[in-house]
Amino acid sequence: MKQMTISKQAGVAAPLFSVENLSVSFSTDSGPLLALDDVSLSIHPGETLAVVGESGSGKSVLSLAIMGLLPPTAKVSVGHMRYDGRDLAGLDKTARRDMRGKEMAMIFQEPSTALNPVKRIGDQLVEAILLHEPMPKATAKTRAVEALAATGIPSPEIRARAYPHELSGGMRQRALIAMALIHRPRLLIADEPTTALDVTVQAQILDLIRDLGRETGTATIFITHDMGVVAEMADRVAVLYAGRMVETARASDLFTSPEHPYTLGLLGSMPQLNQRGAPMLPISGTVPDLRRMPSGCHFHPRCPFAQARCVEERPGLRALDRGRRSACHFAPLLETLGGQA
Amino acid sequence: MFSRLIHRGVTSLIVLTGVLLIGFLMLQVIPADPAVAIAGPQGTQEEIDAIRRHLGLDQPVLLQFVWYIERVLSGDMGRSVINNASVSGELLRAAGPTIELLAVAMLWAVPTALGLGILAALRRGGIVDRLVMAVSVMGVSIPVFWVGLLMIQFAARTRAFPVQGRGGPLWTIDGLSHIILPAIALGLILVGPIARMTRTTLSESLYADHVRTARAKGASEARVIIHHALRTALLPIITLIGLQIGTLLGGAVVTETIFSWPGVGRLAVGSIIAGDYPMAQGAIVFLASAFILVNITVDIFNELADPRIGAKT
Ligand SMILES: Nc1ncnc2c1ncn2[C@@H]1O[C@H](COP(=O)(O)OP(=O)(O)O)[C@@H](O)[C@H]1O
Ligand code: SF4
Ligand SMILES: [Mg+2]
Repeated sequence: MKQMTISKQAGVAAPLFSVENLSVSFSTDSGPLLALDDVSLSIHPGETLAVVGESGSGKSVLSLAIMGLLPPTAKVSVGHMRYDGRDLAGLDKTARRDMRGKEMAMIFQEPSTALNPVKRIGDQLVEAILLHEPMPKATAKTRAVEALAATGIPSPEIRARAYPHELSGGMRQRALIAMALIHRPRLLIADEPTTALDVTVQAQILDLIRDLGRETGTATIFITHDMGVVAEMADRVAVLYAGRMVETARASDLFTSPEHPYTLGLLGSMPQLNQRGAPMLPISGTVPDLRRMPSGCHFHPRCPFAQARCVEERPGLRALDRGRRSACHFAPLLETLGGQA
Repeated sequence: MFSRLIHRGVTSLIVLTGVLLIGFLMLQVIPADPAVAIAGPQGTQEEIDAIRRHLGLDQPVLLQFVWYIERVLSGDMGRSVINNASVSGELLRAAGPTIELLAVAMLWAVPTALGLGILAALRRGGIVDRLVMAVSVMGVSIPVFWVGLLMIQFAARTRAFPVQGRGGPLWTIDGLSHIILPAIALGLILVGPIARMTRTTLSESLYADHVRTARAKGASEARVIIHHALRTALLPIITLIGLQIGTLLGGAVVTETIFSWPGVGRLAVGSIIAGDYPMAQGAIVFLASAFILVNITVDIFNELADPRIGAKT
């Protein structure tokens, strides 16, 4: 219950979903790959938590782990995973499956492949409806068309009869959003839902997710690598680096005073935010190979503040003021590194 | 979609003309001159010439080919030089048993192969998986006639099943007991390739994006497999089954010959051995046309199974 202190609402209500000490590994031909290392997070009803990090940092693995959709090759270890007071890790497969699509739903990154190519859009929505709510098929069809209409798809009756390849990428993503929200889930995971879309469509889809989420009071875990999207969507942010959570804070705090050099780097690639006072600091290099992780702080080969201690000693995630947490030896940064930056 | 079908139709027509040309040429190389044969041993040169003119044998070859096509289209494929029976009549009589044999072979082999392939895909590295791989390797390397001969050996020793000929309609005990061995021998050709293709495509599509979406909706694993993973994996499987029917027709020729099954395959082999060229020509044209027809049908089936194919053109 340590997370209770993270956000101010937490004092009032228990989190809708929380997971502690989640680790996921895959065995690959060149050795074990630790995709997630001891990640803990929680989210409250109605809240939007952004999970950011470069590609390969474990964001999709995290969302699949929460949904219980990891492939059988994944080895999962978890302290606890709780949804609405229920222990998810202890649930049997059927009970877990019954929650998917009803209590918790997911929107995927690639709208072009996430829909079944040989089934009509409407039929795929009808299937989603009937899986959790038995009703006459005709009624379900009407519901499906209504759900499509609610996402702003023009002439929804016609689109319902179309196959996925007959729709644009934006419309496919709208259909997937309609499908994910059809049972008004209390937890929605959106895994880079706009990455594959045109810039103009991106903004519309973001608005749609925010508006529909607000309407239904859904808690949203919004996964992205784009700090601009974080600024637009998030109440709270968790930053992942190479499978570990390196910083978590309220969005407003994160943008004004980031407490991890990696977050600084992510913000550095956002010109309009630099004017607010964050030092310019684009990150060089790439995410390390998860099978050959650097010693000490995993970020040290790329960190402009790295010191001898960083190579030897691995920093843990420490609590700071205002519910912030950072995995840097020198947090809070302004006090210890203020002179250097 | 329609333009694609028309395109397929035209190509098939060209291939069919090629087949007819081969049939026509087979009749040209008959060692005996038909006019001499008809005139009989006492026929004079004038009589022979008159018959030649009557049969059009003095006309250009191309014209004779056109006449040949006209005759084939009207169902006249000539007469046997052995027993003077009508070729098309004999073919019609033999077609039933061949279709029967193919149907029964597919009826057991396709579901068996699909089932094995699905089990193998669901339990990669398991017993069924290894069995499927072993069977499909064996199926490729052991010829049908060898399996057929083994079966005849076995049946002859145990007297469990009759090994020669057809016993009557399928719904009679006699009919069933006669068809079992040849249908097993013939169907075995299919099991390996289809099971293997099912295993490969299904184990890919089990973790495809849209299948993950289905799981995220809360669909049961059985529903996920049948309605989503298998549904999209089906296309290459159907195509393969279609292509295998060609192999199956070839296998039918061997199986029918070994088990004396009175079908088109045995008719073709028998008439070639006997030097009955008109009969052989008819059987070959018949088998080749059936092959082309099956391929077109498979194509149409594919169009219906996957809406994307039609959209690409
Ligand atoms: N099924 C899998 N088998 C092996 N490795 C995987 C699998 N899924 C993900 N990974 C690895 O886990 C790491 C994190 O991947 P992912 O969560 O997709 O990153 P992100 O979504 O942040 O871009 C990557 O190194 C990826 O190669
Ligand atoms: S611990 Fe050291 S290397 Fe790691 S982020 Fe902090 S300063 Fe950089
Ligand atoms: Mg991802």
